[in-house]
Amino acid sequence: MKAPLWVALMVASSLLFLYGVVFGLGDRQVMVAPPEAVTEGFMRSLAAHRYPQALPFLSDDLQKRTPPGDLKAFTRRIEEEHGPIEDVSGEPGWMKGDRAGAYAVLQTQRANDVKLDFQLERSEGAWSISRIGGRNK
Amino acid sequence: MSLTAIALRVLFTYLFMLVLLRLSGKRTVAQGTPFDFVVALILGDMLDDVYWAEVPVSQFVVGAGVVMLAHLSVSCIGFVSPAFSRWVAGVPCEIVREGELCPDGMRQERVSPHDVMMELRQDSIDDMREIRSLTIETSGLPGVLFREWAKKAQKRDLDRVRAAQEEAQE
Repeated sequence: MKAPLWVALMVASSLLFLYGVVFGLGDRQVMVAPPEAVTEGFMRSLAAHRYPQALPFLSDDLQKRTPPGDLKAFTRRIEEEHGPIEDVSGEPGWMKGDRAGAYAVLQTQRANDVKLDFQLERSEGAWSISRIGGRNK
Repeated sequence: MSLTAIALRVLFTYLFMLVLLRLSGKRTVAQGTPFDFVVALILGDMLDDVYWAEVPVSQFVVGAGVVMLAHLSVSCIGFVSPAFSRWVAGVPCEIVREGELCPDGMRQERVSPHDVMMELRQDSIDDMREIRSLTIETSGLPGVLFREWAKKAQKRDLDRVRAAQEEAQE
């Protein structure tokens, strides 16, 4: 009967440990999704045309300035130029303090390796996209 | 994504799941009821997202913890309240009684005579008349009780036969 209490204690201890790792030791890519995973997740949501689900990948500031219609237009531009997106993979870029750059590499129907660059910022321990970039040649 | 980061995430989640399952007791591992099975499925599916950093590890900890807490709470309430346990896990259902098929039980469990015969063959039973009761348990597995005369011989039976033989010789 004490098992639920032990589980709750274990969850609390684990969260405390993770808090220490992320905020105390400054972990930026092990216990939190690294920048390339964030960009990949964002582009996968766009590729699936799930625009509301893509919004949480953006920083608070960028979310306020980006209606879902803008994401739809962004996706449409890519698809018109390169064809529908078939696969996405994230690539690490640079990292300096609480700012980072990462790439999303798209496999489309008409082109391979369309590389888009993004800028990210770290807030409350998590990375989010602060600037949606263009094609990186 | 670096291999070291993947290794550390996998290691953390492995240790977390080890302790979580240990605290949850043996039922989750054994998947005794449909709910035990569902919890095992959910937890197994959540691991994938953490390994490839699709979610932060903290979100996994909260998600897995809440699933396990809900599961344990259901188990504890079921332990205290048999009625709740019956509602959650169901009740065993007899499909063979005293060597005869039970149509009501078979209808309830959607078990055909063909399914029953298959079950008997898997338990190396070639004569249904040997069975006192064949029940589909809440785990979904069959439980078989044999009639007295069909039970396997035990050491005490041999002792009785020997004792009778010795008496006869005297």
